Amino acid sequence: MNSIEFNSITEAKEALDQKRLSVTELINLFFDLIKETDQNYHCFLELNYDSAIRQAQAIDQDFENKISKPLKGIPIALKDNIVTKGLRTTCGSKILQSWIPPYDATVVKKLKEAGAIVVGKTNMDEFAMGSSTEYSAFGPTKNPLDTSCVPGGSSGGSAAAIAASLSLGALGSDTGGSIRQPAAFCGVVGVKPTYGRVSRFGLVAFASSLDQIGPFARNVNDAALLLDVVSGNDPMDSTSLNVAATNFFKSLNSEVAGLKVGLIKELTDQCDQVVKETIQKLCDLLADYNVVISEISMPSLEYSLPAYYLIAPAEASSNLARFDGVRYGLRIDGSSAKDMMIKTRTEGFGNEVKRRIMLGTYVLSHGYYDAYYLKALKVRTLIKKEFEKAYQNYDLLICPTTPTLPFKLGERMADPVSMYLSDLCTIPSNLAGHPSISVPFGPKVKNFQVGIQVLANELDEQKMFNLAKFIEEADE
Amino acid sequence: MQHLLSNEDVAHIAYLARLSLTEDDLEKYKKELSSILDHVGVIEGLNLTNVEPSYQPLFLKNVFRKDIVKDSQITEEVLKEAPAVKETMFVVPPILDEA
Repeated sequence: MNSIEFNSITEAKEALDQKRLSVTELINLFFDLIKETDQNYHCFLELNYDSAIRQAQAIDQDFENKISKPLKGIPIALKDNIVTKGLRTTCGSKILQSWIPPYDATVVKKLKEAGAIVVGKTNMDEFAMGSSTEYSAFGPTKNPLDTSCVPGGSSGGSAAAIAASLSLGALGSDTGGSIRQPAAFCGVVGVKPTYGRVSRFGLVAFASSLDQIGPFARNVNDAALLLDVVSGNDPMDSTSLNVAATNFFKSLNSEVAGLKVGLIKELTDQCDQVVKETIQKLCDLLADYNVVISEISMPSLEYSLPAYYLIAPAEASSNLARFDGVRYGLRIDGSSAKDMMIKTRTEGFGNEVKRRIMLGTYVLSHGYYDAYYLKALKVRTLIKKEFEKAYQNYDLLICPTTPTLPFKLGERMADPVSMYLSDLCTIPSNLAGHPSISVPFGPKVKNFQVGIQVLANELDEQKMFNLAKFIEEADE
Repeated sequence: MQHLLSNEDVAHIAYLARLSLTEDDLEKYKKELSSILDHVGVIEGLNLTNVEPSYQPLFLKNVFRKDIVKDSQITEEVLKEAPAVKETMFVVPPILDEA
């Protein structure tokens, strides 16, 4: 039996329920495949073998237990910035190379309560800063669809693990596109939920006003199910929203007739021809199904990339001040506390992280705060208002997830700005705090499909999932 | 480049961020940071006098909770991860005789 037979969480659950195999057998299938093939991709930084097998055996012994658990026995991979008690968590950084967290993130607790089994921790750009997973201190991940290309980033390991069938579900984090962009590059589904939908407790902070944890899955159903499991208010994260529990999975339907959908002009215009052609095909198809589709112009989105690359580094420079060699992680000894801190940070952080910390420090420093940081926050208001206005007339918005298809490994490493441009279409949702999803669509170009991004108003994930499901079905 | 930083600027930023740079690093980051600033600097020209800043995305105001003392019972695990410990304290090099 081969794990490829289970193309989704739903299928694997059915197989388990029908006793076609045990949880232990299922988990072993995935570990076998990881051991056999992950040397080609480098999705995982750490495997959770012993603990996962123990957990699987415990579930098998108690399988008749009628307490229904939505993810009983399902293998899940976690981005390595989500802390796991007793399981090494590095954030893709030398500074946390051997850190064993003393607690589980809230999302990890929720997954375990739902019966899920953590198979391992996935590779990422250091501290989630990057768009290709090439900035990992432990070497890049390769795109399973074409190993000469990047998987996207920063959650490249999680996206690639799903694409290579090395896990049935995965979590990532999305600050400016770090779930949706790699999902698009790897041909899987990736969701950034509404800011505050999912607790950030135990997510190592990059830019706190933008970060949000979300799922990767093989299809829209599974992504909705995963989000149902991990979402919810958490007293440990005061920015988590106090809203009713979600049931996106059960409420999913692909009825779209009558929906008003806007195609965002400014973001689509900047995409490659093949990407534009694909989304145009989708628009034609939507019109055939009586979706009211029209182009919408949102001129302030032109400033979202600059605003993001001021706000995110500013927040990062403050968040990453905690890595000082005092309480955990790397320490390089020095003659004084300050000398120790400087040596530790200089040795422990990679180039991109240093670049962003310095950029953030600069834009927050005296004399530049008003010109850069404060102005970026005001641009954020303009963007939010423009979305507000758009959602008065439209149910949902769409645009490509990425301006291009996956680029080659090494291609953008030398030019930070060209790397930043690959987040052009995903950043606006983070600035606004809104949910969005990437779903593959259209004919293959070489080995890749274009990722379509569906954007929704705050807390409007259900509509977003429904349109995504329609797109997925139309693609089949 | 319009936003050309000097070597002194970059060295000062690095010091504030508690990073140490070699001469080669200085040149490299000077070039890269200047090019990023060129790109993001387009917002400098915007007139946003009457626009309020958004410090966070949604409708949250200050969120208060009761200040309840709880024992998290993970002292040992936390100390095990520390680079240097004495009893239940983190040990650091001298902090008072710095230049």
